[in-house]
Parts: sequence; C-alpha cells; structure tokens
Amino acid sequence: MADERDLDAEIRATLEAMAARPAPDRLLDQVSAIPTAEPTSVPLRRSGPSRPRLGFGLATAAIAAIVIAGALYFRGGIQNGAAATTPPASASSIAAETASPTPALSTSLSPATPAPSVVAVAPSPSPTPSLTSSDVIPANFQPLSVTFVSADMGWVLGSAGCGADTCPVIVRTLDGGRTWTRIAAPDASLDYPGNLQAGSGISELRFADPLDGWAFGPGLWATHDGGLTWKQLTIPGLPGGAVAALEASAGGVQVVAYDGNTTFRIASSPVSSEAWLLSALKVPVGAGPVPEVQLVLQGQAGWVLENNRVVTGGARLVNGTWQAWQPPCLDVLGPATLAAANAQVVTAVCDVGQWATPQGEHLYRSTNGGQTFAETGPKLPVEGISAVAAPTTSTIVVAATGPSTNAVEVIASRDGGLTWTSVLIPGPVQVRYLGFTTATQGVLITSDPGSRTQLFMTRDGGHTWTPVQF
Amino acid sequence: MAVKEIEIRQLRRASAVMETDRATAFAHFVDGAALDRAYRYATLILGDPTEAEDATHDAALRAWHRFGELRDPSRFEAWFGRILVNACRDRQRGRRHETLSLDDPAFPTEGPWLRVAADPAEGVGRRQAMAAALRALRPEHLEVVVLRFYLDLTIDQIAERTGARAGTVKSRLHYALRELRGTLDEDSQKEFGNG
Repeated sequence: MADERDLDAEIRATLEAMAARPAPDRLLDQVSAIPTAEPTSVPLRRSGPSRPRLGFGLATAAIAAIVIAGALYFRGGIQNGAAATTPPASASSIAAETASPTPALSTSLSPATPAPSVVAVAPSPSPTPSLTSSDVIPANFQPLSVTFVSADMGWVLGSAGCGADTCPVIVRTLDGGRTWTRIAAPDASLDYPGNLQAGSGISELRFADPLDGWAFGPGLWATHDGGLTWKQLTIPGLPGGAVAALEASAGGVQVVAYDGNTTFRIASSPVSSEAWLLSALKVPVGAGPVPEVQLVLQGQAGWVLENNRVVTGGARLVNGTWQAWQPPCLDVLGPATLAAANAQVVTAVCDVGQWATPQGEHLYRSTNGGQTFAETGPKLPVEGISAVAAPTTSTIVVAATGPSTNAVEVIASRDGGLTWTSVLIPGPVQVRYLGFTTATQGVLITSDPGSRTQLFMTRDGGHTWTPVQF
Repeated sequence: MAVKEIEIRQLRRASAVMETDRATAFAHFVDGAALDRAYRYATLILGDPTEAEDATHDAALRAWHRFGELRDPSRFEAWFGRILVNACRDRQRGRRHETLSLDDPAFPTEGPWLRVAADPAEGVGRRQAMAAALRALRPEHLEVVVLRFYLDLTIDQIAERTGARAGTVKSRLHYALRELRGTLDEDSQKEFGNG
C-alpha cells in the first residue's frame, strides 16, 4: 500500500514538473480575439493532422496576424506585465475624484446612525429602450469614464458627435484594452461629472461583473445583461435623486446621491437586482458652494468622504451598515482625497491649509480601516491633487499638478509614501479618473483644455502608461 | 450569501444572456486560468509546447463555435475539458507513426517542464525514468493517468471527459500503473545490476 502511495506521489510530482510551463501570452491574446475575429456562422474547421507543426492553419494564422498586428501597434510603450490571476474589485472602487477648488467653512457629520429603511427601486414609468448599437466605434470617440471587472474585461463610456449634438457611446474590451467593440448605451444625454442638479443625464460608468452595470451622474441607468439593454431607475426615498457617486464591490452596489437640499444619502442593492436599502444616515453637504463626494469600496468595507472646499464629513461601511465617520483631515483647512488598498489600509492625501496658509500635500494612512490616521512620509512633491489610487499597501499613485511645470504629473511611491517618482507628465490637462483593477493594471483618463480626452493604461503597477486607441 | 451561491446565481444569469451575448459569456468562461489549465494538460499529453499551444487554440476555437450547445454553464469545465481531450487526440492521430523520445528535438531538453529530469540533485535517474515511462505509455493510458493524477478527476469524471465507460477507465488506469511500475522496477534493477 505504501508502494502504491509512493508511486502515486511520484507520478503527480513528475507530471507537475513536466507541466510547469504556463500558457504563453500570445495564446491568451489569440483566444481572446476569437469572438471578434471568428463569425459564429463559419463552420467548424477540423484540426487536420497534416497541418504544419508550427502553423495554426490559414484561418487561425489570419487571427494571429490581426492580434499580432494589434499587439505590435500597442507594444510601443506597453510593458507586458503579468496579468493578475485573481483580479480584485473593479478599478472604479479604488479611484478618487477631483478635489473642489473653492474656499468655505467646514461642518461636521451628524453623529446619528439611524436604522436603514428598505425601499424598492421603481423603473421609470415608460422604460426607455436602449439605443441600437453599431459595431463601429465613431472616429471622434472621446473616453470619459472607464471600468474594468477583471484584467481582461472592461467598458468605456465616451462621447461622439451625432448630428449637431454629442451622444453617449459605450465600448467594451475582452482582451485588456487591446481591442474594443461598441455596445448599446442608455438613451440618455451626456452630462458633466459632478453635476448635482437632478436629471437623467450620465457622465460615469461602472460594472460589477460581466452582466451588471450602471451609467450615472446625475441620472441612474442599469443593465443586467452586459449592456444589451438599459433602463432608467429612480430611487424612492432619495429626493432630488442626483447620483453623485456609485461603486460596486463584493456583490453589492452603493450609490451616494444628493438630496437637492442639505445632505448626501446612501443607498445599496445587490448588483443583480433592484432591491435597494436606503441608509437613514445623512452626510451634510457643508457650507461651501461646491460639495464633492468620494465613494471608495474595498470588499465589504467602504468609505464616503465629502469635501466642500475643506473636508466636511463622511461615512463608513461596517458589517453592511453605513455609520457616521470622522474622516481624516477634518481640521487641516483643506480637502482630502481618499484611496484604499484593502479593507484595513486606507490612504488620504490632504491639502493642508489650502484655505488658510497653504502647507502642501500631506499623506495620511490608516491601518485599521479608517478608525485612526497618522501622517506618513514627507510632504508630497506636487500640489493640487486630482486623484489618488492605492493598488497595493506599498504602492500609491497620485495625479496632481507638478511642482514647477504647472502641468499634471503622475507620481508613484513603492514604499508606502516615503519616496516618490514621477511616472507620467501628460501635460496641461485635467485628470478625470485614476484607478487600478489589479496590483499591476490601472487606468487614467485625462482631458485637455479643448475637452479632448485620452485613456491611458498601465500594466506594470504605474511605472509606464500607454495611450489606448479605439 | 455564500460564495458558491453567488457563483451559481451568476452562472444561471450568464446562461440567460449567453444566447444573445456569446462573446461576453465566452470570455467569462474561457479566461486565462482555464486556458492555462488546458495548455498544461495538452503539454503533458502531446509532450511538445508548440503542439500544446495549437491544440489549446483548436479547443478554444471549437468551444467558440459550439458555445450554443452549452446549456448548463455550471458544466462548462467538463464540457470544455472534453473538447480539449478530443483536440489533443486529433493532434496525436496526426503523428500516429512518430515516436517521440527524449532524444527527439521535438521533445525539448531544456525548460522547467523537464526540470525533474535535468536536475541531478533531484535524483535524475529515477525522475528521468518516470518521465520517460509516462511518455512511453499508450496515448489512451497516458490520457487517464494525466486526468487522474494531474487534474485529480474521479473515475466517473474521466469517463465523461474521454467518452469511455467507467470500467474501461479503471482498466486503462490499472494497466497504465502496471506499465509504469514495471518500467521503473526494470530501470531500478538495471541500475542495481550496473552498480
């Protein structure tokens, strides 16, 4: 019997070693291109035994040629980093928004955490049919918002001219941004990010998985079939209903909406249904003229931080319940930008004294899920933070205005904020979005003064960034 | 909600859209991990990385064209596994009369897949003998050995993948192990005799 077990173990060990070589990247590229390169009506070709040893046959060679040509086109700047095997939450869950630029007083968060109430989402009275999509991506397509659910699968909401107007266009990639296909978009108008006036327009896009996604800001639209159809939602109990932020993580979607008066409200639902739970917690908008809210999720944990010139309040998701939260930098007289590497390690970059005596950008970190924060490392070598991402506990990527160039600069730290390196200077642009899908793969959207936008991707943890072509 | 329940729910819903959005569903299932498993299996069966790459690509292409036949997404792994087994068999038939040996240039003598045979510190003789014995098995015997000992499938699961009866699988496994044991014993005796 012992001999039997020895033989089994020896066979297993030998097989493991003989199969130690992983699948080559080119095979993954070729297979991911099959849906776009192979019409399904073509009869199945049999693998002929007489096919040349090193060849894939004519049909597959054609596919390979397409893929290789595309790969060569992109290879210019892409460092072909290894794809993460277990992608975490969507890129959107780590991103932060642009800080508000105008001065004001600060207020604190209401300490009460009333019990939530269950409400249902009512689809709009006459559900609006989705636009019929064409496979063709318009030549003037401008990326506005990006979301990935894995290293391979992602979507971009963009704009394109349609007659005298500009219409929303959504494109999807199944191969990590190498190729894109147009899918249907909601029958909505494009709005600008941060608009808190109630309406049905959209400015942002998030997906939780291959099927469930939302276009929002300030309107709210949902798809549960991968973007084939979209329907407009209104959330009862959220007067005003201007969706300011939306993220999805761990099977749930969280929405922060402005009530049109004095508070932000938070609603949540399972991603695949519309059974929303409206938290009774209210986050005051503060006394400033430009309320701006950030929503960051990591697994079951979440944080809402509100700036209105300065940090004014926040909320924290603990064990499925939103609770009052004292965010970092409430007393520094400047705004904060939040990111989370995991449920415990939370990073905030605070513009200390922006509305008093400016003292620069300082890094604060929490290792207990945001309960307490401590300043870490030296002052950052940039100013005017646009966005922060923390793909790992040691890596922090910041988009901000450079110290001397007066242009946006992306800097990265590999040691938790002790030292910083400049990794990208995209020029005189604004950063619309920065986020990471995995520890190595991230996205960045910039907008120049002429409103031309550009999506960049990194596959090496932010060391190098490459423009994405559609 | 338990992870398993979420997976099942997602699979059911994936099935619902599969008819209308095959590309999304295909990419969801035939992901990097599935292809990597398939490639490693093909490497073991065919003994050649280039052949393994071709066979895996063949299997993925067949899966794409037959995706409409997959009615139960929870059965994807078994369904794709059977396609892969057949793709490898087609490749083997194409070289039916070839004899692959460790001296054959087609069987690389470098690379991590031969680490066991190349590292003297790991007992090169015994490991090389095992690798050679595996390669010398009849294709249908190697198939069941790899499915059993590399993919850890049960007899019933192997029967499903190979299209053979469970009794046939047991029989093939029995003879394959006897063959391996015999070859190794013979090798040991030779070593002992030469020593």
